Amino acid sequence: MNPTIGWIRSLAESWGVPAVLVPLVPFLLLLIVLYAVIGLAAYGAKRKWPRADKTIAFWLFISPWLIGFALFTVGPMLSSVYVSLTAWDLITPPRFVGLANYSEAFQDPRVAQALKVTLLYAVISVPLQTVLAFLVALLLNADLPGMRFFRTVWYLPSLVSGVAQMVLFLWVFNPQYGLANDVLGKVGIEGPGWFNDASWALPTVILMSLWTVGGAMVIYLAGLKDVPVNLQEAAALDGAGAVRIFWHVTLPQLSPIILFNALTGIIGALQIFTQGFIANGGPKDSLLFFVYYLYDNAFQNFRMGYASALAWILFVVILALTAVTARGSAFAVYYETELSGRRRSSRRLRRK
Amino acid sequence: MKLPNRVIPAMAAVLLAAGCATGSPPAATTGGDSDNAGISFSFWGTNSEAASLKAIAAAFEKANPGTKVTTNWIQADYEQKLQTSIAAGTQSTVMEISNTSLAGFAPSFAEQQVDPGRFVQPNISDSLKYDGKYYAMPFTAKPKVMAINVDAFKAAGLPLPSATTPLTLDEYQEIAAKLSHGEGKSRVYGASNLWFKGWLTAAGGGFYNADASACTFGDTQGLKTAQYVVDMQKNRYAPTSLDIQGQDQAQWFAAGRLGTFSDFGPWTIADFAKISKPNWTLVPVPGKGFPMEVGGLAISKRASGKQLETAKKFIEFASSNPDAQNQLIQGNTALGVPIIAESTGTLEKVLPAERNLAAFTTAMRTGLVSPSVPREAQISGDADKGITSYTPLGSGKDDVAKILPGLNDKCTAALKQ
Repeated sequence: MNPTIGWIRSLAESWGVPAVLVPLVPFLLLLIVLYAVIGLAAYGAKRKWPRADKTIAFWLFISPWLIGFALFTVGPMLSSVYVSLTAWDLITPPRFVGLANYSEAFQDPRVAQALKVTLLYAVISVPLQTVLAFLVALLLNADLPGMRFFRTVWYLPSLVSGVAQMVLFLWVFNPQYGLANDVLGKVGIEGPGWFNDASWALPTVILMSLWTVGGAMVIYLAGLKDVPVNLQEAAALDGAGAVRIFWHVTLPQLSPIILFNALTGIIGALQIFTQGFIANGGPKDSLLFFVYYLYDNAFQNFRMGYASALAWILFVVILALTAVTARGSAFAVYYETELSGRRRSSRRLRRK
Repeated sequence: MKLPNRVIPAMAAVLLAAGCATGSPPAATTGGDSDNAGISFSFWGTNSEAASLKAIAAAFEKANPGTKVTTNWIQADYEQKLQTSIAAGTQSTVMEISNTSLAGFAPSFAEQQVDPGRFVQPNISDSLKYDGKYYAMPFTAKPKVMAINVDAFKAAGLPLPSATTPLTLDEYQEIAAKLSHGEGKSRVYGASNLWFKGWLTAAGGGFYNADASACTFGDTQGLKTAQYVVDMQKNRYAPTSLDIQGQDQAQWFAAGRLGTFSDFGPWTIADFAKISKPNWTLVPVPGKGFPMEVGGLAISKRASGKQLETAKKFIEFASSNPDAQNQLIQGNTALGVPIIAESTGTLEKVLPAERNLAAFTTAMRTGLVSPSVPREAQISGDADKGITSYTPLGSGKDDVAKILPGLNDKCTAALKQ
């Protein structure tokens, strides 16, 4: 333990602070010092003490998160930039190697395989999940008795942790003793090797991912409940049928939600890890997902520098794909606020 | 002189910020010349293995009043956690380490003086040398033996193998063929699933050569052994990795589905102690036996002063004091085999003599130890993935003669990097 922290803790103990609160004392003191530093710096800059107005209250309230973000997110990110430029096995001191890790990554055939597997998974699973979640939400939006039960049933699998899901599905898709091949066998079909077959492993994981569409489904359901009924009634009065109402009213109203689910789905799919980890990369690297390969390098091979470089490459890939998706959505996503925004700006123009 | 208004708060800010810094690196738990002679001790293992190590720590505290050993039982991902604690400078004073992983960790361990004559065979201490120096003190050995289903042998009209002399691989194959019968989910296999690395050593080969300068699992002996394993599976004398996926082979043995069970370590005793039918006993693993793992205790390089002295006393105690060595056996299970002559008999008495736990002592005296290489997890892990992905030694279908030499070359190249 840091001697200063140890001293503060023993001081707190001698003052009779309850044992459970003692670990908090150094942290709180650190915060106080930090606020004092910021306050003094602000005074130094403006030559007046910050006023206790709403702005100050805002910064005070948000500061615990900001400090945590700086310490535990930005700090490690910046540190990983440096580590990515080194060769470091955690045992011996890091050795600066410049861009060698990035250069190695661009020539590593397993990086190419990991990118291929991950992108393939994202490209196939995200649209499938989006469509399935949307269709299920449409069905569960019907005003029928017992619908709450079915909504719960559909959502329930989303609460199961990734490892538990994977262990469950390893059993379901066990080629010898699994439920899937047993059922297929009853109808005269010889089931595949699923996770044990290089050509079936990825489709199996994609199939598995559809089990947890409940999370996206709940968001669609909330969106469907929010579609103004007057718009649908107006369309019906104008002679639109159910399909046209869905296509021209419901779908545009839900397009921001679809975009949100698609974006978070893409980011989540590109960060898939558990399935590859539990399957140990799958036969012939068929489940070598990028984050699993990154983990493998960091915590199995202890190549922290290379793993950090891979992390930054993935960051750039995710950033690029997210940007492309967000930009491409401009033609297909309808925001009600845009219209009101336009109205407001036109009003302002008229005033001028 | 009047300081400008902006300077005073700025200086105060700098002083306050500076007050947070200590000016010295964080002290590790192993740190310096502390008056406190207490040490910390990290280890992995199951409940019973942890019970053994905690009991050794308690016995040491009892023998050295006023000394405190804080145990740190790491239940999963031991090496990852050890490595990250070393990077953070928060590692324990004493750390358990296996001979196979020693090379990668050696730079962070203190060199030790080991007297090989104290242990029942010189291999045991040699296995904890790296670059000609000792970096850990041995405290246990983990040889493998083979359990045989006595009832199955009698039913097949086969004489029981010798309790002390191993079968040859050909003899074993013949026996496995005669013990195998039946079809489907009730088929009885003469052998349990065959672990390629183990059988490679049994056949006289090795994953690496003696000085660990090259991989050798793809050489002539390697290919011959791989084909041996594939043939045993193809003839259905041994189950494949797919057959045993998610299955417990000890339960298969208890259910009479296995004629022999070859991957039997000291920790397996507890599972088999529950099996009264079929009747079983232990014999040596065929050929030259499976590679023997050696458990060692290393001291952090950062340890100094009284903590270093206490740590040295502790590992001496754990490796050579009968009170500590006897703690390796807890109830009817064992973390490993005691390595000093006075205690080896303790394990043999855990079960009745007809179970022949003495086979462990025999296996320890003749056991072969694999060399330790830096980046072992990466090098052997990549080779294992290739072997199990592409060949019938795992879930693949490709010919071992086509795949193994290529993987072997990659492995050797990785060793030389």
